[in-house]
Amino acid sequence: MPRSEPERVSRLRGWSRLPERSRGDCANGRNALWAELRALPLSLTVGGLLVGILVSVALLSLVWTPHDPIAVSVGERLLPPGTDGYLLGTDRLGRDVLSQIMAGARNSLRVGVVSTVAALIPGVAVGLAAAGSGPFWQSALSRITDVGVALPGIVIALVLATVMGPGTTTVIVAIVIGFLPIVARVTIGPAKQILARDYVEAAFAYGRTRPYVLVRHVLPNIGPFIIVQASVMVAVAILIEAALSYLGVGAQIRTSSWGRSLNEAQPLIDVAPLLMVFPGAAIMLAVLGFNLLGDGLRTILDPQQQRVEVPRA
Amino acid sequence: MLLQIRDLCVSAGPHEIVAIEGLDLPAGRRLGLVGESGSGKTMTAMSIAGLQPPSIRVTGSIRLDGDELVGLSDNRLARIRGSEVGVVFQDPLRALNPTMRIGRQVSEALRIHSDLSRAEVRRRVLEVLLQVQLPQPEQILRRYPHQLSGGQRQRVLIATAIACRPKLLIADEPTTALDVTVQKGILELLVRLSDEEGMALLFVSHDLGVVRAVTEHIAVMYAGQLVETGPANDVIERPHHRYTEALVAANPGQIGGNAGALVGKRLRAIDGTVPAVGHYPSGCRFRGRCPHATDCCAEDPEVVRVGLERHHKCKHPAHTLLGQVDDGAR
Amino acid sequence: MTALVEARGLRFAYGGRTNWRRRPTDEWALRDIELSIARGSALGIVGESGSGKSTLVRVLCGLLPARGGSVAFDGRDLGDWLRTAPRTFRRQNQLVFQNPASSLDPRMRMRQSLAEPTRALERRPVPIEEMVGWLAAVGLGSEVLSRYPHQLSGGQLQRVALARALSVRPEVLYADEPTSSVDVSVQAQILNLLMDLRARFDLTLVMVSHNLVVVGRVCEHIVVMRDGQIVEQGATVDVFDEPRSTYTAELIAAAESVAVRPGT
Repeated sequence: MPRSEPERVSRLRGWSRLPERSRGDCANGRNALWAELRALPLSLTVGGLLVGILVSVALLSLVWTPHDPIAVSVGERLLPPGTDGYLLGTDRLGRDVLSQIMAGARNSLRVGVVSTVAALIPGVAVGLAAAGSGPFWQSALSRITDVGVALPGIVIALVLATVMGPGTTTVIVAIVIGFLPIVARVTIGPAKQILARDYVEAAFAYGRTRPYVLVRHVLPNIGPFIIVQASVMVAVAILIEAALSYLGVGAQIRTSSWGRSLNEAQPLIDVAPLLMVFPGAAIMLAVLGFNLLGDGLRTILDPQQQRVEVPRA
Repeated sequence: MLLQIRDLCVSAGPHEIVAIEGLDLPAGRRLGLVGESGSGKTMTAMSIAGLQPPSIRVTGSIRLDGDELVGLSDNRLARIRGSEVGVVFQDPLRALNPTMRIGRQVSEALRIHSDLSRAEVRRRVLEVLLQVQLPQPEQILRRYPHQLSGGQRQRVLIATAIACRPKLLIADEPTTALDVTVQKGILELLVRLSDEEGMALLFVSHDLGVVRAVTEHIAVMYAGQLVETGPANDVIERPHHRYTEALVAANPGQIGGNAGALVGKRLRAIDGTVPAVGHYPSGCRFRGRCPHATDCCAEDPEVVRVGLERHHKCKHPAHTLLGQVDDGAR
Repeated sequence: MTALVEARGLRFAYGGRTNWRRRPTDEWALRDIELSIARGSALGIVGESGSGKSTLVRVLCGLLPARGGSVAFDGRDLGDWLRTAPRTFRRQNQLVFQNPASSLDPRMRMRQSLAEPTRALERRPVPIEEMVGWLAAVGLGSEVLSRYPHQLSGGQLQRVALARALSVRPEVLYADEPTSSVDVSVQAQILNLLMDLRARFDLTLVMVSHNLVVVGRVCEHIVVMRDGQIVEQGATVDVFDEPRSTYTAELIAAAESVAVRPGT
C-alpha cells in the first residue's frame, strides 16, 4: 500500500506527432480522381478498358462503319492493310476487314450478353429454389446438373443446328442450354452460405416466408458473386460463338462474325496471313477483357478485401 | 530485461494507432496486456512479432534481449519469430492448416529453424505434445485439425509455438473462443510452461479476470496508449487510472458471496464509446467519458510513478494518497 | 404465476424426417427437456458449447420443430400456434442473436431492417417517427436510420437488433448470447438496457449465455444444460450457493477463477 507521495517522473522523451494530412492537400478534383483510379485493381481497369472499347466499337458499328461489312467487291480482293480507305485491308471477297471486325464485335457482344442473361435468370432462380429446399431437391438438382455438364456443348450445338438450322439464334440457344446447369449448380453454394447467416434466421423469426427470404435477402447478397460469374460467362459465350461460327453453324453469311472470318482466312494463310490475325486478336482481347473485368470485380466486391480500414486493434 | 519497448508508434497512414512510451518484460515473467477493442493491444502484440499488416508503419524501439527488432528485414524477423518468439492466436481453427496433419504443422518451425534430424524432430514434437498435456501424442501426430476439439487444437497451437523453446511467447486472446472449463486448463498450462521453461509470456486479452489468472503484472491500454501498469492484483483491486477503475466497475461480478444481492441491479457501465483511430481527443483520451475529468485533462498527461511498480497517466487518479479512495477532488 | 412457456419431454435432433425415429440416444441435440417459464420472469440458460442451449431457444421460439414431447405457449401447443396463428405467435416471441453484425442484412439500411418485423407480422408500413421512437428506447439517435451495418459499432448494432425485436411488442424476448461478442464496457451497457427494457415493456426474458456471471446479474432463474439435457434448474441464487450437480459446481469454479469483483 503506497503511502508515499507519487513521484513525478520528468516527461519521457516524447514521440513526434505525425503530420496530419488535411483534406485540402488533394487540391484539385482531378488529382483525387486519379488517385481513386490508381487504387483500383489493375485487372479491373484494364478489363474495364477493353470491355469499354468493345462496347463502343459495337455501338458505333450500329450507325457507322468505314464500309458496308457485307458488301462484296471482287475487284478489291485481298488488299493489304494500310491501303487507302481500307485500314486493315480486305478479305477474299473484297470486304473491308475493319468493318467486319466492328460488325463482328456487335455480333459477339450480342450473343455473349443475351445468352448470359438468358441463362442467368432461370439458372439463378433454380439454384436459389434448390438451396432453399430440402436435401432431396438439392440432390435431384445435382444429378440433373451432372448430366447437363457432362453433355458436350459442341455436340448439342451441332444437333440443334440440324434441327433449327444454323444461325446466331441457334448459337444462343446452345450456349444457354450449356450454361443453365452450371449456373444453377454454382448458385447453390453461395446461396446456402447466405441462408445459414443470422440475418436470414432472424427474418424467419419475424415471420418472413421462404420465397421472400430467398428473393429479398439471399439474392441481393449473392449479387456480387453473380456479377462476377456473368462477366466470365460472357467471355466464355464469346469464345463459344466464335468456335461455332468457325465450324459454320453460327452466324451465317449476312452477319459478320469473328469466328467465321477466322475460318475464311484459314486457307489463305500463305497469301494473306494477317487476315487471321485481326479476328483472332479481336476474340482474344474481348475474352481477356471480360475475364479481367470479372477478376477485378471479384477483387473489389469481395467483402474481405474492402478498402483497408484501419484495423481494429 | 528480455523485452524492452520504447517510444513505440504504430500508424496507418497519417493515423496513429498505438503510442507506447515504455514497456518492459523481464525474462521468464508474465505480463498481461489488457484493453478493449480499439485499444491497440493486438496491434502492439503483432508489431512485436513483426506480424503487422504491410500497410502499417512501426517506429520506435522494440528490443528483444538487446537486439533491435524494428526495421529488421522480413527474413530476419521470420527467423526470430520461429526460434525466439512464439505466437499463439485466438482462433485455433483458422490458425491451423486444415489439410496438414498435426505432426507436420508442429514440426514446421523446428524444420526451418533448427538442423535437427528427422528422428530428432519427431522426438521433439512428441515431447512438446506431451508438455501441453495432449493424451496419446503418437496418435495426435497423424490427425487433422478438424478431428480435434477446440481445447486440443489450442494446445496444438501452443505446442507449435514453443517447439523451438522461444524466450518469449505472445498469446493473443488464446482462450476467448473456448469454453470456460477448457479455458481453465489452457491458462494453467500457460503458467506451467512459463515456469518450467523460464519462458516469458505476453498475454493479450480484453478480459481482466483471465489476465489476472495468468500473469503477475498487467498493462492497461486505452485508445492506443498505455494508461496504467502494475502488479495484476494490485491494479484490479486498487486501480489508479480512472479508465481502469471504470473497467473494473463495469464487470458483472462474482458468483459466490453475496452475489444474490446483485441480481437485477444495474451494472456500472461507462458512458460513451472508445474514440476511433484518427479521432483521438487531445490530452487524456478518456476524458470525454470520465466523470472526474477537468480542464487540465486536455493537456497530455505525464507518466506518474507510484511506489516501486505502479505507473499511470492520470491527473485525477483513484486510490492514491495514503491508500484511501480518492474521488479525484484535487 | 402462470407458466407462459412450458416444455414437457421435449426432444430434438437435427437431420431429415426420415430417420429420426431410429436415432440412437446420443444423437439427440435435446433430450427430456422439462421446463417452465413464468410470465414476466428472467431465465438464464447456461452451458458450454454443444450443450444444446441455443437449440433449445430456437425450438421454443418456433424456428426448429420439436421431434418429441411438447412445447406450449400461453396454454396452447406450439404446433397448433404455428399452424393456425403463426404471425401472432411470432409477434409475441422475438429473438436477438449473439453477433449483431451478422443478424442484420448487410445490404439493408437500418431503417429497412428495423421495419421488417412490423411489415411481416403486422402487414403495415412503418412511419419514420415510430422508428425514431424505437431507437430512442434503446438509446440511439435517428441518424442511425440511414446507416448500413458496417458503419456502426458492435454495441450500436446490438441496440438496433434489440429495437427491431421489440418493435412488435413481444411477450417473450429470447436473447442468444447477447453480449458474448462485445467488450466488458459495452456488455455493461447492453445488460443494463436489457434490464431496463424488461421492466419497461413487461417482458419475459430468456437469456442464453456461457457466462455464468452475466446470467447471475440479470436472471432470477437459471437452467444449466449439458449434452442436450437439463442438469439443474432453479433460482439463480440457490443454484449458485448450493449447486446440486458436480458439473454445475465445476462451471461455477471455472467462472469464479476468472471473475472480477466490480469493486468498492
